[in-house]
Amino acid sequence: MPLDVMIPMVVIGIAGIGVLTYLLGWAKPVSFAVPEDAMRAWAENFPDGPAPTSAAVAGDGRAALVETEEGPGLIWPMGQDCAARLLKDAQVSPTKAGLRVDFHDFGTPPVPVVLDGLHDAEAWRAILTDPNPETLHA
Amino acid sequence: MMGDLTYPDVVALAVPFFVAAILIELTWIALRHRGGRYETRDAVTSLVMGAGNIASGILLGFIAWGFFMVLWELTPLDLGTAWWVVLLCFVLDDLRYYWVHRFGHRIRWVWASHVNHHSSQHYNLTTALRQTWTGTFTFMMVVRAPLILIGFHPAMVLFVGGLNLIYQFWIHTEAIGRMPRWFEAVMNTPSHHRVHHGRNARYLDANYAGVFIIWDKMFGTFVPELEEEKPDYGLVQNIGTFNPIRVAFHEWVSVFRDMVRPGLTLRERLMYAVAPPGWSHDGSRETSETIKAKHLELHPEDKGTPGFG
Repeated sequence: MPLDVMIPMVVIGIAGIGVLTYLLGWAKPVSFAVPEDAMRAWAENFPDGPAPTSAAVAGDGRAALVETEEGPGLIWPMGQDCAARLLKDAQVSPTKAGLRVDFHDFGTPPVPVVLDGLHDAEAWRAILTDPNPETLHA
Repeated sequence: MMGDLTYPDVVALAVPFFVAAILIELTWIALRHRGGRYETRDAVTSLVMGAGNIASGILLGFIAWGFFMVLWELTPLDLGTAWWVVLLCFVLDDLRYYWVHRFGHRIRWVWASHVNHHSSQHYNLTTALRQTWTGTFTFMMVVRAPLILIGFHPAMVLFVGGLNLIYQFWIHTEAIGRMPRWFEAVMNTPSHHRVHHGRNARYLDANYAGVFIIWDKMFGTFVPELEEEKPDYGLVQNIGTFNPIRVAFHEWVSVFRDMVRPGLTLRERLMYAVAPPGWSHDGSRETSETIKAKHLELHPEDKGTPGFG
C-alpha cells in the first residue's frame, strides 16, 4: 500500500477512534471517593499481598496513600484502572500543589499528588516518614 | 519487490479491516454494555504503538531482510512456491512464532521488546495493535533462519508471518466467549489468548501460541480459561503511563540501568539481560515462579489445578 494512502488512513483511524471513545464518555478516569475505594483497588492490584490495612485519599480523589503490611504505598488512576507502587524506593518531594512522588522508573513518570492545603501535605509527609500505620488517617 | 519473488504486504492491506473491526467491537460494547471495555487514552496509545510498529518495520526491516537474503544465497535448497509449500511454511512459521513468543516471556532482553504488548489493562482489538517498536534489537530473526536454510524463500516466510499476525488480531477480544469445541482444541482463540494476557498468578507464562494452540499442548504451557477466574489484564506491576515513548522503551531502560548498577559481577550483569523477567542478583524481585509459589502458600487448595501444575 502506498504511504500517501496509508498515512492518512492511519492518522484518521486513530483520531476517529479516539474522538469516538471520548464522545462515548470512556475518557473519564476513576477517582477515589472514600478510603475503601482505594483499598479495594489496591487489593485488585496486589491480589496476593501486601494487603492494605488503611488508606488516605488525596483532596482531589486522584491518589491515595495506602498503608500495607509491607509499608506505605501509593495508588493512582490510570484511566479506568489504577497503577500502584510501594513507596520504599520512592522519593517524595513537596510541590506548590502538594507532593510529587518519583519512583525512578521510566515506565512510571513522577506522580503529582494534589492536596487541599499545607495541613494535608504535612500530614502526608508525616505518614511517608513514619512507619507506624496508626498515623494514617482517612 | 522481494528478491525474485513477491507476495502482497498483507499486514498493510489489512489496516482498513483492523479499523473497521475495532469500530464494530466498539459499537457492540456501547450498545450491549458488555463484551469488553475501551478507554480513550489506552486505545489511542495502543493504536499509536501499532503505527509505530509499521514505521519501525519500514525503517529497520532491511536488517532482517538482508540477513534472510544472505541465508538464501547460502542454502542450496529451494522448496519452490507450490501451495502446499506455502501451507507447510505457515505451519512451521507458527511453530517458530511459538518459540519466539516463549523466549519473549522468559528472556528479559526479548521481554523488553514484547512487554509493551502486555502493558494495557484492557483487552480489546486495539490491544492487538499495541506492538513493539524494537523487535529488531532482540535478534529473534535468527529463529527464522532454519526455515530459510531448508528452502523456504524469505519472501514466503515474511508473507506467512504477516498472515500469522493478522490471524492473531481477532483473538484480542472479550466480545467472543468460546468458539466451537473442535476449534478451541486446535486453534488459538479469544478464550486461550485472554489467559495469555492475564496477570493472575495462574495464567502467567501460558498459551504462547500464535495460530495453533496445539504447540502449547505439546510443550506443556497450555492453561484453559477458567469460568471461576476471570483474567485480570496487564502486567504484574502495571506501568503508570500512556506515553507511547515510555511504553516502547521503559523495560529497555530498566535493563540497562540494572546492567550498569555498581558492585555486580559480570555474570550478574549478563543475567539482568538474559534471565527471566523479575530475576535479581539479590532475590529481591519476583519472577513468575516465585509469584506462583507465593500464591500457592496463600491458596494451597489451588495446587495441581491448571496453571499450578
